[in-house]
Amino acid sequence: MKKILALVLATIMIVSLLAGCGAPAGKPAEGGSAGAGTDKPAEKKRIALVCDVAGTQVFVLSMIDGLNAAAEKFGFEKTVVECADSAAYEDAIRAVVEEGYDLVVVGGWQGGEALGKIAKEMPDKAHYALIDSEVDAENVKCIFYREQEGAYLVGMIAASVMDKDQHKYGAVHVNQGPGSWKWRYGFQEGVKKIDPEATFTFNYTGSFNDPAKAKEFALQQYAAGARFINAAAAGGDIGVFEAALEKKFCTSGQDVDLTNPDNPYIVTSQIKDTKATMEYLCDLFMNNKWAPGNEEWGISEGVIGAVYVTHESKNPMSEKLSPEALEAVKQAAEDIRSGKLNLKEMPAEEDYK
Amino acid sequence: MTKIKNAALHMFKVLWQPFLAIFLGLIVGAIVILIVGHNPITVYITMFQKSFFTLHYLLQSLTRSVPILVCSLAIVASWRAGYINLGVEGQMTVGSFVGTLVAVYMPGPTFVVIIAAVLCGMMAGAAYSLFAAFIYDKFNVSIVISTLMMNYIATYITTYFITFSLRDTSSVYAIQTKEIAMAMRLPRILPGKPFNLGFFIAIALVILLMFVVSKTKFGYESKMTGLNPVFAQYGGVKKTRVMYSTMALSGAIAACAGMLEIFGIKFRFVESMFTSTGYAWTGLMAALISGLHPIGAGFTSIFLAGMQVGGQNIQLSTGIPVQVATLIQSSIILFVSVQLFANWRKKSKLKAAADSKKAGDE
Repeated sequence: MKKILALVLATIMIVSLLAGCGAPAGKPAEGGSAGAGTDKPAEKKRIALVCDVAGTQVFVLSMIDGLNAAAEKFGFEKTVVECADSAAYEDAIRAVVEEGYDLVVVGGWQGGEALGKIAKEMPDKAHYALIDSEVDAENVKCIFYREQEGAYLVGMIAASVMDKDQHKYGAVHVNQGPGSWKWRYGFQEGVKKIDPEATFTFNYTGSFNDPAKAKEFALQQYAAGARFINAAAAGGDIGVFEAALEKKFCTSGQDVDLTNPDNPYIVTSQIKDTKATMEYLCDLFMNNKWAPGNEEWGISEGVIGAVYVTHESKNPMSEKLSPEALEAVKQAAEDIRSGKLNLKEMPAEEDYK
Repeated sequence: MTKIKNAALHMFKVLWQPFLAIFLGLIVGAIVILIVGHNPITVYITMFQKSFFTLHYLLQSLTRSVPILVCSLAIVASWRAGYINLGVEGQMTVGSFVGTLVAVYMPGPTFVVIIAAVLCGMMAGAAYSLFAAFIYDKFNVSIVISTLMMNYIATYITTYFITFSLRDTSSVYAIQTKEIAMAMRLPRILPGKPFNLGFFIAIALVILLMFVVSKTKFGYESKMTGLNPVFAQYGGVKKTRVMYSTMALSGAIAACAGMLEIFGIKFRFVESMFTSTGYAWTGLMAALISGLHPIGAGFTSIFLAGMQVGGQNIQLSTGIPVQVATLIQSSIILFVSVQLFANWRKKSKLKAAADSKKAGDE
């Protein structure tokens, strides 16, 4: 008995010691310790971002960047809730609404369904926004993209850097859903513009954070003859880049500028500027210009594009991409912007030849 | 007076271990929190506030515990008979997928459709589990391996159907079936909270399974098979029949776990809804920690669900990233799993045995 008592006492002492050390390390200035809500000045706005586990996903990371930048600019209180599994979205959105956040932004289609449901149930409790998907609820402001336009440019670049006797293209995606179809459609169209004999192989990792599997797929596609492999596997892209470095084939990234002086095989990167989107939403909200209504963004809005074509990069362009070829791609981007080349209407995947 | 004192002493003897376990788990977690530069005390207060000690989060924990709890019952039903069913995830996927399809597509009065959906779902789950029993019986394929592998088959087959032929095309991105009708959903207990009747159905299942394992012939036979199959057979238990019925029961319960989640919260079958959440594996953990006891498994499931909810929600006000939250949560669970409820059972059994021996001596 005495031994146990001694043990318990000893551990309590250790804990209090640890707690003592811990106190100065905690940053009280950083948005909200426990017991949020009651003792805060009421006028300070609060914005919450609910998203997938960030990990290596630049799509999510740049949304968080955008939120942080906006928080610095406007001085609102912010929180980021990463969701560990598919059921956590609904719980997390309910939790932030319960905690009294004024604006709830859900980043990614995975939380769209849950957001729509909650927005209908509790329309007055908060403002709602959804990035990168659409949902059937009037009070949710949805912003989604014409990714096919950026993918088209990447496809043209892919065909331009290929050797003339090679016609096999590959791509590693997350799943075979309609979200990925936008990328695949644009990519195929862009390649075929330059290389009409092209054939394509697509593989799906089934998860947003699986570099090992993505790398394996890329190696298999290379073994099957693909000489340009487009990385569109979210967090898995790093795996494709590794494979490219090993086997010396060309590849391209997505979402942000992923070109890298240490890996010359990444010849371009499709841009999908979620940072700008996040800042735009915060901007609307903080300046009281919030209005529901969906928005679809593409190249003409400047948030979709490709590195070297519509967006500058600090890294030098690959030698494989000639200035003449780039000029043709730039012309295509201009055509999309002016409406001469229209990619807004896409065929359904089943109907595509 | 001495009786009360003795009882208190007994309680203390039984309970000091789990409490010490939780305490040690919290200390390990505290070290991690210190390393990432936060105050452990604040974080822990937040974590327990946001899992059990606020109404909203308590309900959230209880809601999340429903599928975990019912999965743990499916594990208890099969494991205590000695059949290591690792396929609860697959059985819940297949069972709830079939149940949802019946609920969405079958015409007829609501009440009839609900009954049909639940029955079809349970039968599908049971059939999926029976297949593993069948290939064990006929071809001696280990149940551990077949059930485990059939999880993947279930996931990918259902994903195939909802990606192509059965997808609800009204949603642009999500890969999921159509929604079940409003009238078929489990009623909510409080307005605005997803907490629903499903929790009470789960509790009813605990009591039902408790009754089956402790009061029926089938329960006794399956327990005997689990303790010593040779002896049970010698004693006249038909081993194969017990195996088939045990596996069927386990599969049917697993299907219920999935259907409670769908009819109570999600209202439709969504791609990888059970693989990403890992309900079956958390349920397995709950069943093992509690020493395959239905009531113990119930409490452990609620505790584990609360830890998950609390871990998810400490991000909200502390800014701790989700990975660290998972680490804290896991270290607590690791220490608690030092045979929390099994100990309770063993001790009280030993005591009962000692008491009866004493009574016999006198």
